[in-house]
Amino acid sequence: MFAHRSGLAEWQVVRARMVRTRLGLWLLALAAAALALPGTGDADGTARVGLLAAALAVAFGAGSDADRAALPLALTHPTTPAAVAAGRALAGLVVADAVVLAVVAGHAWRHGWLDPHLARAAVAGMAAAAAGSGCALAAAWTGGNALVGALVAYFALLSAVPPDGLAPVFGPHPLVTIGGALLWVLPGTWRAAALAAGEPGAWLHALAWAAGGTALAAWRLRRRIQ
Amino acid sequence: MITPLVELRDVARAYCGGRVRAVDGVSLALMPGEIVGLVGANGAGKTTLLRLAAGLLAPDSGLVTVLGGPPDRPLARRGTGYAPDGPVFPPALTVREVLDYYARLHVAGPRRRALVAGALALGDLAEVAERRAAALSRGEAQRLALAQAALGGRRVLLLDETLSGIDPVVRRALCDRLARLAQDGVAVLLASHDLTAVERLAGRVAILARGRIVRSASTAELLRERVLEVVLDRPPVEPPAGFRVTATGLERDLGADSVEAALAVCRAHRLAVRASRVRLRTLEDAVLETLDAR
Repeated sequence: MFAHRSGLAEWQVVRARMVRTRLGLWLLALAAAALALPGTGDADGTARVGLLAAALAVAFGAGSDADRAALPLALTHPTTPAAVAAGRALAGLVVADAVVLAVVAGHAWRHGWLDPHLARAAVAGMAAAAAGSGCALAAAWTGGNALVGALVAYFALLSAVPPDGLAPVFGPHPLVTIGGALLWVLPGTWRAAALAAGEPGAWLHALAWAAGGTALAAWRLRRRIQ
Repeated sequence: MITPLVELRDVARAYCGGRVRAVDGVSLALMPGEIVGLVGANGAGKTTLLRLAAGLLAPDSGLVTVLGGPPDRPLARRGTGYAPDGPVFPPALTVREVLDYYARLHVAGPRRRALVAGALALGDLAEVAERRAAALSRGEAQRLALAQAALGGRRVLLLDETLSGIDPVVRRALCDRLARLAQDGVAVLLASHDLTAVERLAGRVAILARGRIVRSASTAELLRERVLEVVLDRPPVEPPAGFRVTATGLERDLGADSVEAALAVCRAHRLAVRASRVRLRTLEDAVLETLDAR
């Protein structure tokens, strides 16, 4: 009950940001760039769009100082930290999924709807968006938009590299090991093919970030009122 | 037997690893329909006490009970409204949307609109309903804080400086509305530096100093003393015993003394008395006297 009502309430917050802040423009720019760049219709491209759109939606919908300062007051109403976090993550996910579907539809409009990989690419993008939304919310309520900004840069630039792709380029080094571990732990576009193929490991990872990131954000919020 | 809606028993809360004891062994009960004023200097522990009652802080020791249970359970959240000092609302939303956001957490469907309309009326916010909450003046933001706190038919209101920074006309209207809510059984705990508003509203006043309640009495009991004000040609360097220096001369609580006896003390000190008058003690007199005595 709390999650249902919080979901509706938090959606209202993010919806208002879409039209009154630069979030709408950023998402339009992201969709336009995704359609202009090669690889739009493949799983990697849609996963990147999903991750970036989710991170942007969370940054504008939950990450600002004022947003975080307003959270405790919501908890004086009949809701819980978990419901607020779930509502905010879900609102970010809905926005990101809409962008993913818009990009996929744009690709299909230009290249035809009969591409057999298109549906899988859309699914991969939406799964990546779920993982990205949970991860970005946890980052936002831990380190604010500075941390979400770092996450956006990672999603855009580094996350396409698989963990075992660092060592052949940079050689054996502790930083390479740490970087590889981070690539393995965090959501990334390098998992897009596995998501599109329906590999259980990739889907479990995405689900773990969607649920675990939201739970971590809820824990951060609960700690603020203790 | 009427049970308290809010009860704090020997509650303590410290910050900075225990070095700052914000609330130190406070016990307080709030009965249905009662308005209790919480007054004291900055840092006395008023806000911490309210946040403890609102379930936004956990006590280090002691027991906080709201509507018969812990303050963070759903029933307590539904029945307890909190208006913080310097409230922050979700940015980019208008006043109506802010109230709608909180109303969605209470009810679904068309009843939500009625809740929002009621809250707008309570806070006298109809004129600024379409203005963004971030663009409100301090007084308007305080009114919005009160409106969201009272939203949903709350049985307990915890108000932190809610009546401060509001113009006198609106403040009086809000006082009247709070008094009507209390008549309907709503319990109000009002922390404020605005002693005029507390004096007007509260039936009981708790004076806090360094995290402890140093005096708790009915407002009538605190204000029933008579005070003699003496206007002098020149203020004295050292006031006579029992007198306090004011901008225009001296004043003292009369207690059992007569006006003539008190004026005789002034004459004995060769003070040129131009005029004098007797008034009832204000809450400010009572609070200052209590805090000065410590």
